[in-house]
Amino acid sequence: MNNGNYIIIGGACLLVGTLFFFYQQGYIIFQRPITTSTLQEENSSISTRVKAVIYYWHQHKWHDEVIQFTSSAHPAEKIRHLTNQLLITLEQEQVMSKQANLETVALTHDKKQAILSFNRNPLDKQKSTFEKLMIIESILKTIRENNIPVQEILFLVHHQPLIDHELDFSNPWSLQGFLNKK
Amino acid sequence: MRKKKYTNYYYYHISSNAMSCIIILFFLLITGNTICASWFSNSSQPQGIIILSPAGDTHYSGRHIGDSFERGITLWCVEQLKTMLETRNPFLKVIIPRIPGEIREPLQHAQFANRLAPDLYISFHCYQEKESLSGLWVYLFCTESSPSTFTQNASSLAFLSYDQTYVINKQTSHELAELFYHTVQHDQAHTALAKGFLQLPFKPLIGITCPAFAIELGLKNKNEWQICQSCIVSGIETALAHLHRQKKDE
Repeated sequence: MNNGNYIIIGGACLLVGTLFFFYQQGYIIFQRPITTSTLQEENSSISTRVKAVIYYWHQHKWHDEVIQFTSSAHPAEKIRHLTNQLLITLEQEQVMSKQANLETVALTHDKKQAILSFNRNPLDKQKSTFEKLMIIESILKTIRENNIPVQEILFLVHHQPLIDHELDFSNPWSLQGFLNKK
Repeated sequence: MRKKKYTNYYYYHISSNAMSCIIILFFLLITGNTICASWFSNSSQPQGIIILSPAGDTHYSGRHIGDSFERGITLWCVEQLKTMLETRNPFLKVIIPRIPGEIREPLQHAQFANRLAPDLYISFHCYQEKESLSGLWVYLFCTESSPSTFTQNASSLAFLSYDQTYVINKQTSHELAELFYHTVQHDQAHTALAKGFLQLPFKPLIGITCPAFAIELGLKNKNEWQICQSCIVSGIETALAHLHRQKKDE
Protein backbone atom coordinates (compact mmCIF):
# COMPACT_ATOMS: atom_id res chain seq x y z
CA MET A 1 0.00 0.00 0.00
CA ASN A 2 1.42 3.36 -0.96
CA ASN A 3 1.34 6.57 1.06
CA GLY A 4 -1.68 7.94 -0.85
CA ASN A 5 -3.89 5.04 0.33
CA TYR A 6 -2.86 5.62 3.96
CA ILE A 7 -3.84 9.25 3.66
CA ILE A 8 -7.24 8.35 2.11
CA ILE A 9 -8.01 5.71 4.80
CA GLY A 10 -6.84 8.08 7.55
CA GLY A 11 -8.97 10.93 6.17
CA ALA A 12 -12.03 8.65 5.88
CA CYS A 13 -11.59 7.46 9.49
CA LEU A 14 -11.27 11.08 10.66
CA LEU A 15 -14.46 12.03 8.78
CA VAL A 16 -16.41 9.05 10.17
CA GLY A 17 -15.10 9.81 13.68
CA THR A 18 -16.11 13.48 13.40
CA LEU A 19 -19.57 12.57 12.11
CA PHE A 20 -20.02 10.04 14.95
CA PHE A 21 -18.90 12.70 17.48
CA PHE A 22 -21.45 15.21 16.10
CA TYR A 23 -24.17 12.54 16.22
CA GLN A 24 -23.28 11.71 19.83
CA GLN A 25 -23.31 15.36 20.85
CA GLY A 26 -26.66 15.94 19.15
CA TYR A 27 -25.37 18.26 16.41
CA ILE A 28 -26.65 15.79 13.83
CA ILE A 29 -30.12 14.28 14.32
CA PHE A 30 -31.39 11.43 12.19
CA GLN A 31 -35.15 11.33 11.77
CA ARG A 32 -37.01 8.56 10.04
CA PRO A 33 -39.22 9.86 7.20
CA ILE A 34 -42.16 7.68 8.37
CA THR A 35 -42.60 9.84 11.56
CA THR A 36 -43.07 12.98 9.50
CA SER A 37 -45.67 11.40 7.29
CA THR A 38 -47.74 10.23 10.32
CA LEU A 39 -47.76 13.75 11.75
CA GLN A 40 -48.77 15.17 8.39
CA GLU A 41 -51.61 12.67 8.21
CA GLU A 42 -52.92 13.73 11.65
CA ASN A 43 -52.75 17.43 10.82
CA SER A 44 -54.38 17.12 7.45
CA SER A 45 -57.71 15.82 8.79
CA ILE A 46 -60.74 17.39 7.11
CA SER A 47 -61.71 20.84 8.39
CA THR A 48 -65.37 21.78 8.53
CA ARG A 49 -67.44 24.83 9.42
CA VAL A 50 -68.66 24.33 13.00
CA LYS A 51 -71.41 26.19 14.87
CA ALA A 52 -70.96 26.37 18.65
CA VAL A 53 -72.16 28.33 21.67
CA ILE A 54 -69.89 30.06 24.15
CA TYR A 55 -71.04 30.80 27.70
CA TYR A 56 -69.75 33.50 30.00
CA TRP A 57 -70.69 35.11 33.30
CA HIS A 58 -71.20 38.85 33.12
CA GLN A 59 -73.17 41.30 35.28
CA HIS A 60 -74.48 38.64 37.68
CA LYS A 61 -75.91 36.29 35.03
CA TRP A 62 -74.94 33.78 32.34
CA HIS A 63 -74.78 34.97 28.74
CA ASP A 64 -74.46 32.85 25.62
CA GLU A 65 -73.31 33.66 22.12
CA VAL A 66 -73.40 31.55 18.95
CA ILE A 67 -70.14 31.45 17.03
CA GLN A 68 -68.94 29.80 13.83
CA PHE A 69 -65.44 28.64 13.13
CA THR A 70 -63.54 26.33 10.82
CA SER A 71 -62.13 23.43 12.74
CA SER A 72 -61.19 19.81 12.42
CA ALA A 73 -63.13 17.14 14.32
CA HIS A 74 -60.26 16.74 16.76
CA PRO A 75 -61.44 17.67 20.32
CA ALA A 76 -58.22 19.55 21.14
CA GLU A 77 -58.66 21.78 18.10
CA LYS A 78 -62.29 22.46 19.07
CA ILE A 79 -61.30 23.36 22.64
CA ARG A 80 -58.64 25.76 21.32
CA HIS A 81 -61.10 27.58 19.05
CA LEU A 82 -63.87 27.77 21.65
CA THR A 83 -61.61 28.96 24.47
CA ASN A 84 -59.87 31.57 22.34
CA GLN A 85 -63.21 32.90 21.12
CA LEU A 86 -64.45 32.99 24.72
CA LEU A 87 -61.35 34.88 25.87
CA ILE A 88 -61.84 37.46 23.09
CA THR A 89 -65.48 37.93 24.14
CA LEU A 90 -64.52 38.28 27.82
CA GLU A 91 -61.99 40.95 26.90
CA GLN A 92 -64.54 42.79 24.70
CA GLU A 93 -67.11 42.71 27.51
CA GLN A 94 -64.41 44.01 29.89
CA VAL A 95 -64.72 40.97 32.15
CA MET A 96 -60.96 40.58 31.66
CA SER A 97 -58.69 43.60 31.69
CA LYS A 98 -56.06 42.09 29.35
CA GLN A 99 -56.61 39.45 26.73
CA ALA A 100 -55.02 36.06 27.17
CA ASN A 101 -54.73 33.47 24.43
CA LEU A 102 -54.69 29.74 24.53
CA GLU A 103 -51.29 28.66 23.20
CA THR A 104 -51.55 24.89 23.33
CA VAL A 105 -54.20 22.26 23.94
CA ALA A 106 -53.20 18.67 24.49
CA LEU A 107 -55.20 15.62 25.43
CA THR A 108 -53.89 12.85 27.64
CA HIS A 109 -53.53 9.34 26.26
CA ASP A 110 -56.94 8.23 27.56
CA LYS A 111 -58.47 11.49 26.20
CA LYS A 112 -60.16 12.16 29.55
CA GLN A 113 -58.03 15.13 30.52
CA ALA A 114 -57.34 18.26 28.47
CA ILE A 115 -54.27 20.37 29.21
CA LEU A 116 -54.75 24.05 28.43
CA SER A 117 -51.69 26.28 28.28
CA PHE A 118 -52.24 30.06 28.06
CA ASN A 119 -49.78 32.73 26.94
CA ARG A 120 -50.50 34.73 30.12
CA ASN A 121 -52.51 34.36 33.30
CA PRO A 122 -56.18 34.86 32.33
CA LEU A 123 -57.08 35.76 35.93
CA ASP A 124 -56.71 39.37 37.05
CA LYS A 125 -54.94 39.57 40.43
CA GLN A 126 -57.15 42.47 41.55
CA LYS A 127 -60.43 40.63 41.05
CA SER A 128 -62.41 38.85 43.74
CA THR A 129 -62.17 35.08 44.07
CA PHE A 130 -65.73 34.74 42.76
CA GLU A 131 -64.96 36.76 39.61
CA LYS A 132 -61.86 34.64 38.96
CA LEU A 133 -63.83 31.47 39.58
CA MET A 134 -66.49 32.57 37.10
CA ILE A 135 -63.89 33.03 34.32
CA ILE A 136 -62.77 29.43 34.90
CA GLU A 137 -66.40 28.28 35.15
CA SER A 138 -67.12 30.02 31.81
CA ILE A 139 -64.35 27.99 30.15
CA LEU A 140 -65.61 24.78 31.77
CA LYS A 141 -69.25 25.43 30.86
CA THR A 142 -68.36 26.28 27.25
CA ILE A 143 -66.44 23.01 26.83
CA ARG A 144 -69.10 21.02 28.70
CA GLU A 145 -72.11 22.39 26.82
CA ASN A 146 -70.46 21.80 23.44
CA ASN A 147 -70.23 18.07 24.24
CA ILE A 148 -66.48 17.73 24.02
CA PRO A 149 -65.73 14.36 25.58
CA VAL A 150 -63.19 15.35 28.26
CA GLN A 151 -63.69 15.02 32.00
CA GLU A 152 -60.98 17.20 33.51
CA ILE A 153 -59.07 20.33 32.58
CA LEU A 154 -55.57 21.21 33.73
CA PHE A 155 -54.73 24.91 33.50
CA LEU A 156 -51.19 26.03 32.65
CA VAL A 157 -49.41 29.25 31.68
CA HIS A 158 -46.44 28.80 29.34
CA HIS A 159 -46.56 25.06 30.11
CA GLN A 160 -46.08 25.74 33.83
CA PRO A 161 -48.84 25.45 36.49
CA LEU A 162 -51.12 28.49 36.65
CA ILE A 163 -50.31 30.39 39.85
CA ASP A 164 -53.04 32.28 41.66
CA HIS A 165 -53.08 33.36 45.30
CA GLU A 166 -56.69 32.35 45.92
CA LEU A 167 -57.50 29.49 43.54
CA ASP A 168 -55.51 26.29 43.41
CA PHE A 169 -54.62 24.95 39.97
CA SER A 170 -52.11 22.30 41.01
CA ASN A 171 -54.75 19.65 40.31
CA PRO A 172 -56.98 19.36 37.23
CA TRP A 173 -60.45 20.87 37.52
CA SER A 174 -63.51 18.74 36.86
CA LEU A 175 -65.55 19.78 33.83
CA GLN A 176 -68.58 19.99 36.16
CA GLY A 177 -66.97 22.89 38.03
CA PHE A 178 -67.53 23.86 41.65
CA LEU A 179 -70.67 26.01 41.45
CA ASN A 180 -73.09 23.20 42.26
CA LYS A 181 -71.03 21.63 45.05
CA LYS A 182 -73.14 20.90 48.14
CA MET B 1 -48.13 30.62 115.37
CA ARG B 2 -44.96 31.30 117.34
CA LYS B 3 -41.39 31.59 116.14
CA LYS B 4 -38.97 29.56 118.24
CA LYS B 5 -35.25 29.04 118.16
CA TYR B 6 -34.08 25.45 118.24
CA THR B 7 -30.28 25.05 118.26
CA ASN B 8 -29.08 26.93 115.13
CA TYR B 9 -32.46 26.87 113.22
CA TYR B 10 -35.70 28.76 113.55
CA TYR B 11 -38.95 26.89 113.14
CA TYR B 12 -42.60 27.83 113.24
CA HIS B 13 -44.83 26.28 115.79
CA ILE B 14 -48.31 26.10 114.31
CA SER B 15 -51.15 25.68 116.64
CA SER B 16 -53.85 23.13 115.91
CA ASN B 17 -56.43 25.91 115.28
CA ALA B 18 -54.27 27.58 112.64
CA MET B 19 -53.64 24.21 111.01
CA SER B 20 -57.39 23.54 110.81
CA CYS B 21 -57.91 26.97 109.23
CA ILE B 22 -55.29 26.25 106.57
CA ILE B 23 -56.84 22.86 105.74
CA ILE B 24 -60.34 24.38 105.50
CA LEU B 25 -59.05 27.21 103.25
CA PHE B 26 -57.32 24.66 101.04
CA PHE B 27 -60.50 22.63 100.63
CA LEU B 28 -62.51 25.78 99.94
CA LEU B 29 -60.04 26.74 97.24
CA ILE B 30 -60.28 23.32 95.58
CA THR B 31 -64.09 23.25 95.77
CA GLY B 32 -64.38 26.81 94.42
CA ASN B 33 -62.09 26.00 91.56
CA THR B 34 -64.10 22.90 90.64
CA ILE B 35 -67.44 24.75 90.83
CA CYS B 36 -66.12 27.60 88.67
CA ALA B 37 -64.67 25.21 86.09
CA SER B 38 -67.94 23.29 85.78
CA TRP B 39 -69.92 26.56 85.55
CA PHE B 40 -67.67 27.89 82.82
CA SER B 41 -67.86 24.67 80.83
CA ASN B 42 -71.68 24.70 81.10
CA SER B 43 -71.96 28.36 80.18
CA SER B 44 -73.10 29.12 76.62
CA GLN B 45 -70.25 31.58 76.09
CA PRO B 46 -67.84 30.58 73.31
CA GLN B 47 -64.53 29.30 74.54
CA GLY B 48 -61.45 27.72 73.09
CA ILE B 49 -58.85 28.84 70.58
CA ILE B 50 -59.44 30.30 67.16
CA ILE B 51 -56.94 31.39 64.53
CA LEU B 52 -57.72 34.47 62.44
CA SER B 53 -55.28 34.44 59.56
CA PRO B 54 -54.97 37.66 57.53
CA ALA B 55 -54.11 37.46 53.82
CA GLY B 56 -50.71 38.36 52.41
CA ASP B 57 -47.24 38.82 53.83
CA THR B 58 -44.12 40.87 53.09
CA HIS B 59 -43.74 39.28 49.66
CA TYR B 60 -47.40 39.30 48.64
CA SER B 61 -49.17 42.61 49.20
CA GLY B 62 -52.50 41.36 47.89
CA ARG B 63 -55.14 43.40 46.11
CA HIS B 64 -55.53 47.18 46.13
CA ILE B 65 -58.32 48.58 48.27
CA GLY B 66 -58.38 52.33 47.78
CA ASP B 67 -54.90 53.56 48.61
CA SER B 68 -54.09 50.50 50.76
CA PHE B 69 -53.18 46.88 50.21
CA GLU B 70 -55.05 43.75 51.20
CA ARG B 71 -52.28 42.57 53.58
CA GLY B 72 -52.50 45.77 55.65
CA ILE B 73 -56.27 45.98 55.78
CA THR B 74 -56.77 42.30 56.64
CA LEU B 75 -54.22 42.55 59.47
CA TRP B 76 -55.94 45.65 60.80
CA CYS B 77 -59.36 43.95 60.54
CA VAL B 78 -58.31 40.74 62.33
CA GLU B 79 -56.68 42.76 65.12
CA GLN B 80 -59.96 44.59 65.67
CA LEU B 81 -61.88 41.31 65.50
CA LYS B 82 -59.51 39.78 68.06
CA THR B 83 -60.03 42.69 70.49
CA MET B 84 -63.80 42.57 70.08
CA LEU B 85 -64.04 38.77 70.38
CA GLU B 86 -61.77 38.55 73.42
CA THR B 87 -63.58 41.41 75.17
CA ARG B 88 -67.00 39.88 74.62
CA ASN B 89 -65.86 36.30 75.34
CA PRO B 90 -63.34 36.15 78.19
CA PHE B 91 -62.75 32.39 77.70
CA LEU B 92 -61.86 32.72 74.06
CA LYS B 93 -58.28 32.97 72.84
CA VAL B 94 -57.77 34.51 69.40
CA ILE B 95 -54.44 33.98 67.65
CA ILE B 96 -53.21 35.97 64.66
CA PRO B 97 -50.47 33.89 62.99
CA ARG B 98 -48.76 36.82 61.25
CA ILE B 99 -46.92 39.93 62.35
CA PRO B 100 -46.12 42.91 60.10
CA GLY B 101 -42.91 42.35 58.12
CA GLU B 102 -43.10 38.57 58.25
CA ILE B 103 -42.51 36.33 55.21
CA ARG B 104 -44.74 33.28 55.11
CA GLU B 105 -43.43 30.14 53.45
CA PRO B 106 -45.87 27.99 51.45
CA LEU B 107 -48.07 25.92 53.77
CA GLN B 108 -46.56 27.59 56.86
CA HIS B 109 -50.03 28.67 58.02
CA ALA B 110 -51.28 25.08 57.68
CA GLN B 111 -48.33 23.70 59.61
CA PHE B 112 -48.93 26.21 62.40
CA ALA B 113 -52.64 25.47 62.54
CA ASN B 114 -52.12 21.71 62.52
CA ARG B 115 -49.64 21.87 65.40
CA LEU B 116 -51.78 24.17 67.50
CA ALA B 117 -55.03 22.32 66.60
CA PRO B 118 -57.41 25.22 67.28
CA ASP B 119 -61.19 24.88 67.49
CA LEU B 120 -61.61 27.00 64.37
CA TYR B 121 -59.38 28.47 61.66
CA ILE B 122 -60.61 31.47 59.66
CA SER B 123 -58.69 32.85 56.71
CA PHE B 124 -59.51 36.53 56.17
CA HIS B 125 -59.38 38.25 52.74
CA CYS B 126 -60.46 41.55 51.18
CA TYR B 127 -60.93 42.98 47.70
CA GLN B 128 -62.04 46.25 46.19
CA GLU B 129 -65.75 46.19 45.38
CA LYS B 130 -66.40 48.51 42.45
CA GLU B 131 -69.93 47.90 41.24
CA SER B 132 -72.31 46.96 44.02
CA LEU B 133 -72.47 47.39 47.78
CA SER B 134 -69.92 45.87 50.13
CA GLY B 135 -70.42 42.16 50.51
CA LEU B 136 -69.11 39.04 52.15
CA TRP B 137 -68.29 35.65 50.66
CA VAL B 138 -67.72 32.47 52.63
CA TYR B 139 -65.47 29.81 51.11
CA LEU B 140 -64.96 26.22 52.13
CA PHE B 141 -62.08 24.15 50.80
CA CYS B 142 -62.98 21.35 48.44
CA THR B 143 -61.25 19.37 45.70
CA GLU B 144 -62.81 17.28 43.01
CA SER B 145 -61.02 14.02 43.69
CA SER B 146 -61.62 13.95 47.44
CA PRO B 147 -63.77 11.30 49.12
CA SER B 148 -67.15 12.52 50.34
CA THR B 149 -66.63 11.16 53.85
CA PHE B 150 -63.65 10.14 55.92
CA THR B 151 -63.71 7.91 58.97
CA GLN B 152 -60.51 7.04 60.74
CA ASN B 153 -60.54 4.04 63.03
CA ALA B 154 -58.35 4.16 66.09
CA SER B 155 -56.64 0.94 65.04
CA SER B 156 -55.98 1.86 61.43
CA LEU B 157 -53.48 4.21 59.92
CA ALA B 158 -54.61 6.55 57.17
CA PHE B 159 -52.47 8.32 54.59
CA LEU B 160 -53.80 11.51 53.09
CA SER B 161 -52.09 13.88 50.70
CA TYR B 162 -51.76 17.49 51.90
CA ASP B 163 -54.63 18.69 49.72
CA GLN B 164 -56.97 15.99 51.08
CA THR B 165 -56.43 16.53 54.81
CA TYR B 166 -59.47 18.79 55.06
CA VAL B 167 -61.74 15.71 54.83
CA ILE B 168 -60.87 14.88 58.48
CA ASN B 169 -63.10 17.75 59.66
CA LYS B 170 -65.08 18.34 56.48
CA GLN B 171 -68.48 17.94 58.12
CA THR B 172 -67.68 20.26 61.06
CA SER B 173 -66.16 22.87 58.74
CA HIS B 174 -69.28 22.78 56.60
CA GLU B 175 -71.61 23.15 59.58
CA LEU B 176 -69.63 26.04 61.09
CA ALA B 177 -69.25 27.90 57.78
CA GLU B 178 -72.95 27.50 57.06
CA LEU B 179 -73.90 28.73 60.54
CA PHE B 180 -71.58 31.71 60.15
CA TYR B 181 -73.05 32.53 56.75
CA HIS B 182 -76.65 32.22 57.95
CA THR B 183 -75.95 34.49 60.90
CA VAL B 184 -74.54 37.15 58.56
CA GLN B 185 -77.37 36.59 56.08
CA HIS B 186 -80.10 37.00 58.70
CA ASP B 187 -78.52 39.98 60.39
CA GLN B 188 -81.28 42.60 60.48
CA ALA B 189 -78.91 45.54 60.15
CA HIS B 190 -76.92 44.20 57.19
CA THR B 191 -79.28 42.15 55.03
CA ALA B 192 -77.41 42.73 51.75
CA LEU B 193 -74.02 41.83 53.16
CA ALA B 194 -74.04 38.05 52.56
CA LYS B 195 -73.16 37.42 48.91
CA GLY B 196 -72.56 33.71 48.71
CA PHE B 197 -71.31 30.48 50.19
CA LEU B 198 -69.09 28.37 47.93
CA GLN B 199 -67.02 25.21 48.07
CA LEU B 200 -63.94 25.46 45.87
CA PRO B 201 -60.19 24.76 45.88
CA PHE B 202 -59.39 27.87 47.91
CA LYS B 203 -55.61 27.92 48.21
CA PRO B 204 -55.17 29.57 51.66
CA LEU B 205 -57.08 26.66 53.26
CA ILE B 206 -54.97 23.84 51.77
CA GLY B 207 -53.49 21.40 54.28
CA ILE B 208 -55.50 22.52 57.32
CA THR B 209 -56.95 19.62 59.30
CA CYS B 210 -58.98 21.52 61.92
CA PRO B 211 -62.41 23.01 61.09
CA ALA B 212 -61.68 25.89 58.72
CA PHE B 213 -63.32 28.33 56.35
CA ALA B 214 -62.46 31.61 54.65
CA ILE B 215 -64.13 35.01 54.62
CA GLU B 216 -63.66 37.35 51.67
CA LEU B 217 -64.94 40.86 52.16
CA GLY B 218 -65.63 43.19 49.25
CA LEU B 219 -65.12 46.76 50.42
CA LYS B 220 -65.85 49.96 48.51
CA ASN B 221 -63.38 51.69 50.82
CA LYS B 222 -61.51 50.54 53.89
CA ASN B 223 -63.73 52.49 56.33
CA GLU B 224 -66.70 50.32 55.35
CA TRP B 225 -65.12 47.54 57.37
CA GLN B 226 -66.69 49.06 60.51
CA ILE B 227 -70.18 48.29 59.15
CA CYS B 228 -69.46 44.58 58.78
CA GLN B 229 -67.47 44.10 62.00
CA SER B 230 -70.33 43.41 64.41
CA CYS B 231 -72.09 40.84 62.24
CA ILE B 232 -68.82 38.98 61.57
CA VAL B 233 -68.23 38.78 65.33
CA SER B 234 -71.81 37.51 65.85
CA GLY B 235 -71.27 34.91 63.12
CA ILE B 236 -68.04 33.64 64.69
CA GLU B 237 -69.67 33.51 68.14
CA THR B 238 -72.63 31.52 66.79
CA ALA B 239 -70.30 29.05 65.06
CA LEU B 240 -68.18 28.63 68.20
CA ALA B 241 -71.23 28.22 70.45
CA HIS B 242 -72.44 25.43 68.14
CA LEU B 243 -69.01 23.78 68.27
CA HIS B 244 -69.01 24.05 72.07
CA ARG B 245 -72.46 22.43 72.31
CA GLN B 246 -71.35 19.69 69.94
CA LYS B 247 -68.29 18.95 72.08
CA LYS B 248 -70.36 18.89 75.25
CA ASP B 249 -72.81 16.41 73.73
CA GLU B 250 -69.93 14.10 72.80
